[in-house]
Amino acid sequence: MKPILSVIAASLLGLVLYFGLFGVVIDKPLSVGIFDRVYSQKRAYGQALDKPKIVLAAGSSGFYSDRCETIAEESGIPCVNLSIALALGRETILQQVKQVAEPGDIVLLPWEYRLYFLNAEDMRARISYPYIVRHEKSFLKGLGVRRSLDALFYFDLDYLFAALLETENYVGGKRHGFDKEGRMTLQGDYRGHTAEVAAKYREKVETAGSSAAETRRIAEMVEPPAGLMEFIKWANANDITVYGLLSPSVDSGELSPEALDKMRAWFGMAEKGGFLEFKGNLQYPYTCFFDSREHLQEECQIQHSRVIGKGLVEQLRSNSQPED
Amino acid sequence: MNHLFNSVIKGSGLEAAVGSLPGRVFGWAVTFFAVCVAWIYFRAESLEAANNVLAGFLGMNGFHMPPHLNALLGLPVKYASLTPAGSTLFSDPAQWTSLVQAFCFSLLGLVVAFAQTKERGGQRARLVGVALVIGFVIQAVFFGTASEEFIYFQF
Repeated sequence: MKPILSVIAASLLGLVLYFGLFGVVIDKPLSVGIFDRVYSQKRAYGQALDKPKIVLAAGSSGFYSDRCETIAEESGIPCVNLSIALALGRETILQQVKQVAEPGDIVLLPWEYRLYFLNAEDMRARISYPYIVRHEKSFLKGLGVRRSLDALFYFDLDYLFAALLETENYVGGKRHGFDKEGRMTLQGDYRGHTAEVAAKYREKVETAGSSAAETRRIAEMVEPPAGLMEFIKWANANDITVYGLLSPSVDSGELSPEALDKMRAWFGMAEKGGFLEFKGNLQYPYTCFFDSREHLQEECQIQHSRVIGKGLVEQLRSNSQPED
Repeated sequence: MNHLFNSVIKGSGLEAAVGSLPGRVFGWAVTFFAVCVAWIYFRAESLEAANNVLAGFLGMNGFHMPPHLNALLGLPVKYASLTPAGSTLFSDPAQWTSLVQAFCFSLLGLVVAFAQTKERGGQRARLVGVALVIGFVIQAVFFGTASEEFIYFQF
């Protein structure tokens, strides 16, 4: 009996060591830890803002293409941009919003089209799980038992070696693009991605086509994206307004009218909020894009954000006018 | 294989050498090699396929060295070129980490399986082995597909 108990005790100790190692000690500072550093900075700014404020959240398109600095100027409402990377998934993005948004605030969700139809299974191969286990453990309970176990047992020896290598590189001074000094505005927008810098990505952007084609996948969706309706309900219950809006796309592709109808319908279910519409569906020539078909270069980012700021002001004004 | 080996050795005056540590290590290597060759014929779809695999196993289709190792050793191109099958074995750093991973697991597995349990140190080594690998073993068996390489510039 004693040998069996010893093996059970060793196994339990092994699990404690495993979870302790990957949940507390080991990090990938260049590819996972970076999100914690950037989110912490953005959250701190957002939490310090006066109410009401605008909270903008999407994947990297929101980071590169939307500029809270400009939206705040146009609308007169302070704004924080919580967007970083699509690969973190809807749940992580919305969890970040929940940590910052307060009663009276306005949440803008200019999601990439992929963010609507990529599901949790697609995301598990990305970075959301190691990010959650290492930096946002409180999110685990929202994942349910099966997915929590998936996340907790994400880590293999390859991950351990890669983490050690990244730590060595990070200590040696290596940094990922937006982790460098001066790459973000105070509001959390990416900056410095000028047309001049964009020139080296021109061919890549030109041949990438338009993300508008992805809206066909949204048109095929039967149910709204998992978690969106729950988030809207939570927001409205807390007196937070939620607006969906399109992410910018290259004008060589046409958006699916059925997809647009679905997005209008999903966000239209919000008691406070809806779907913001813009002339031209926020489509631009490829010369407006930076390093991908979803990232606007800085000049266009500012113009685009000006349009959004004005559109939001008009929407808020029409909301405040009494109905005839 | 064992009987063949013993019949060759018997009366050759090499009995003492075979019983020594180097002789035993040589014996293990011969046995391991024999088992590997047997596996090829056991698993292959046809005799021809098995012969092809065995030829490659013995280096008759050429070698493919990792580029950095080849550069270090300065080997002639014919030893560094691709095999006819276009193999890129271990040309990717990720394959090296997989090799190290497999080695670590094998080593710990051997400790767990063969530690002398009658001795206190052996039992302890076995429990330490269990404690070190249990998380990774559960991960590999039940959640092995969860971990994939993050592609830095696709977000």
